[in-house]
Amino acid sequence: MTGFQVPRNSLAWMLVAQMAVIVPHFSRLPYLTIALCFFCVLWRVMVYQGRWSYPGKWIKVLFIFFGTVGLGFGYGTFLGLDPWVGLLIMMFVLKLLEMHHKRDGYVVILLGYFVAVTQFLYEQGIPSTLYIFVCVIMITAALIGLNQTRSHLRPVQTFKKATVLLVQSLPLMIVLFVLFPRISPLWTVPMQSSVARTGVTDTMTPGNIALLTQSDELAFRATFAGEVPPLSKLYWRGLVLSRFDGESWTQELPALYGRIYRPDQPPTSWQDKMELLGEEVRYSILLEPTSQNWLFSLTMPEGTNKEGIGLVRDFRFYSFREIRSKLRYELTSHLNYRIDRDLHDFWRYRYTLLPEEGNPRAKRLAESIWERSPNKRDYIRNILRRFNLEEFVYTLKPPVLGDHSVDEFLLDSKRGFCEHYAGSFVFLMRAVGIPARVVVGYQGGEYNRIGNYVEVRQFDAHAWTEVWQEGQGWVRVDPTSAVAPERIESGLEFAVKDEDTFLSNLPLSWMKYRQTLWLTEIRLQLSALGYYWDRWVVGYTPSVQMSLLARYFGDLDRKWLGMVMLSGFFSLLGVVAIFVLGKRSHALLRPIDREYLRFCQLMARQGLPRSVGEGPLDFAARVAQARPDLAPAMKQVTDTYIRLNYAEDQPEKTKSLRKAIRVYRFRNLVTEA
Amino acid sequence: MPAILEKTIAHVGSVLLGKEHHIKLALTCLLSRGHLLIEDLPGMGKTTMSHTLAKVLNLSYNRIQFTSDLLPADILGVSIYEKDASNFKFHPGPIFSQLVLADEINRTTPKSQSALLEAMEERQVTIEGQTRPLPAPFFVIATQNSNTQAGTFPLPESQLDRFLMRIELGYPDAAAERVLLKGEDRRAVLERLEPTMTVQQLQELQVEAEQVVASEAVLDYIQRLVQHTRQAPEFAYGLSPRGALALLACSRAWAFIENRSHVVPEDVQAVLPSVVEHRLREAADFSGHGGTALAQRLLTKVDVIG
Repeated sequence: MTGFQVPRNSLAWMLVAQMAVIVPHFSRLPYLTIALCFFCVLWRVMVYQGRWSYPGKWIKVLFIFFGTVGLGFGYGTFLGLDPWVGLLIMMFVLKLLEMHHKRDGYVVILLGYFVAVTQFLYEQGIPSTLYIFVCVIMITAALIGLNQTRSHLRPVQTFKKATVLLVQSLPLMIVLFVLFPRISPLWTVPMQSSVARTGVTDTMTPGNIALLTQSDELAFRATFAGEVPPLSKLYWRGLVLSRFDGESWTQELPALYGRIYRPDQPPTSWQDKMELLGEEVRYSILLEPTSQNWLFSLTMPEGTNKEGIGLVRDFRFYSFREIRSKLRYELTSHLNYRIDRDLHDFWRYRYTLLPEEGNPRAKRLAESIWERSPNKRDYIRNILRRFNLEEFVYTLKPPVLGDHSVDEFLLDSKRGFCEHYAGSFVFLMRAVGIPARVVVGYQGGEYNRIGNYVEVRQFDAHAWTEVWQEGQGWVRVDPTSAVAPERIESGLEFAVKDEDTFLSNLPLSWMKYRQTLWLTEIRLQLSALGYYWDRWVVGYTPSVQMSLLARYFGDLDRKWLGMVMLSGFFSLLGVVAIFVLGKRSHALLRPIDREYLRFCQLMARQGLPRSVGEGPLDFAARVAQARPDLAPAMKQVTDTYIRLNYAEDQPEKTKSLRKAIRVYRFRNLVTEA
Repeated sequence: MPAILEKTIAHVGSVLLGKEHHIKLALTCLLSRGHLLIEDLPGMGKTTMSHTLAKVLNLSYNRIQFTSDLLPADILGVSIYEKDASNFKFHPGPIFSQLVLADEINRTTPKSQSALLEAMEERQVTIEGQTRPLPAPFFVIATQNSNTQAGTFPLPESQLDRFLMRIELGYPDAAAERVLLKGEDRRAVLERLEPTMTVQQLQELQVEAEQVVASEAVLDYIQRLVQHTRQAPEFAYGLSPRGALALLACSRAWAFIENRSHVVPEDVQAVLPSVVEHRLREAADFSGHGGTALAQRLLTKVDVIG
């Protein structure tokens, strides 16, 4: 093989950096690819130690073939992002076995930067950003190592140099991040939508919200413009479920709802059925990606002007695009409202629909209570009282229910979570002909006073109901509050305190230690930091950038901004160039040296430049030999210079030297003329 | 060039043919009161040069042939009991002379090497509790074979630093070699040579050489050179202040030989390789003292004016 050997320092960092950038992808890579990674690194180390030689052509072809086949089998498809990232990583490690020239080393390093960036396709939090920064330092160390001589044996020094280099470039990076025009990509790769995400779903079966509460993942954060309303009033409405099939609750058929209201289109027929009363609450929500379309809002929201968001017939928001990345939207809600004061017969029919079969005992129970109640309001009150007085238990571990789930829950087990109460409450309403529906979303949250926002996590998921009443429209009734009022007042953790099931599957979750003050303090601070990061770094979209810049510079044209950036960049380069090249500026010289150097420039114009390190006598001798006609003037100048500068040590007295130079110039002029 | 020095150089040159530059360097070293290390292959005229210098400069001369079994006492001297006087009498070793030729210094053990090197530094010898001064002027010319030759103990950097200059004689050019081959025995020529000066005169010349003017500009230049060796990554370590002093002293002596009352950058450049080569090591070079290329690069990288 060729003689080029990657310097030890560079190879070490190359391998370490390579592993570091690949490790976060391990969970997504097929085992075969991971094995290939390790094998290539091993082979490269062996090549470095001189034990093995580089693989031959056919072995490499074999590697590529099996690597690609392995990826194909691992993912089952070559569509989507993951297989292509896998392919990139595979080629990245295989390139190690081809480093015959320095150029190949550069290829590996550049690929390393590229692979490091692919990590951002999956994670954009602070920890992963810091991690990638360290990776980039290591790759840069490999780049530095590639350009160091073999005698640099200390990898730590190279790493330090790379760190200094990158830290120095941080200010420029920040400036570019803030100011550089953001251009949307020319093409996009669809993200794999199969990535499992926890969150509220559009089907409610007894047990699935309870399952959701096992997660402490963040759902969204809400920042209020004014005072934060009490947590018990924060009902984050997400979905309305009104179809019941005897087991689960699902959304109404979209076709029945009619057109979705969008601010940029003419008003719909139903939109005036919403009357907003009382004070308005203004807030913005930063939603974590859900891979779904529905958005959460406090009841009842005014419309929003954000593009791509519409209002659905049951007065909740809908995003026309699936939410794959964090989404920020601003809302105004009124906690007092009146919707659908008149309900069309068709809707009355839909909202009182129950399956013909099933749950006969519950239906009988409803009828018996209905007979005892003088009116609808008393009926509701009676049922809630029943929940409250009988031995109903609010628990995260409800027993498994059979075919007649409502029957079994209401009359036998009497142990359930919010979805049991909400579901059976709506069932009891509909059984006697009162229109009712289930609403799912989140309730409450935690106020972070450091970041001044309310943080809602998955365990805040909740289901409640809306009952339609004559003259009042849809009224929120939360049967859970009858069973476990502390759930609404203080959150889930208190409601299930006795059975100790709160996040029982996550022994190390921060959330379990909410009672420990200093831990809470740290957690709130970290959370606030994460919020600012999401809001200002991850959420720094082109529109945010434009509005931020507009605040300081007025309305800006993107093209103009680009021009300013580019010219700014080049003038900065120019300043650096002047600084670097002009380091030996004449201003720092003694007067006598300045005069002498000017004379040297005159000589250079004659084709006889003085070289660096050439003393005046040597220079004079060389000039005299090359151009005997210049010799007398040269001698005159050199002698004067040496007398003043070296013999008499009077660098300030330049008069006689200047005179000698003038004499030379005059003579030269005459000769040329 | 002062006439007396010109004559001296011509005299030495008649024995050591075609090596005028090296003879001037050796004289420079001597005028700066420093010791000289001559490094070359056997048979290149190392011994002849030192012998001739001693003769021409009218110095008492002793030669110590360094071998692997040489002991410090063989250099410094020893006290021997005299039966007649019934007391110990000190018999001074070969070190007690004005010019000492330490031949093949790297063939002896470090112990004996250091005995010589200590005497060089202190210009006195302490034996059996009694300090005896060495004669003045005291001048050591050490020769050594190239490090790669078999049976050598290379001198460590700290001891190399004691030598003001290190020179390599190199092969003579063809014309000089032809004269050598055709002419009579150099030993006979050496025998016939007359001293050109007295010891007193030599000491006066040394004092005069010290009075050559070194202007701010020259000091700046020397400092830039030294600074460069300390900063540029190709140097394993920079020049010590002693190295800087040596460079200045030699530049003065060289300017004096060139018959100038002041130092010019060319004087610094003329002596620089001999003064710094053995004090420098390339960062990429772990074994040798291969400063030759470094000294050349130093001269072309650091500008005279700046």
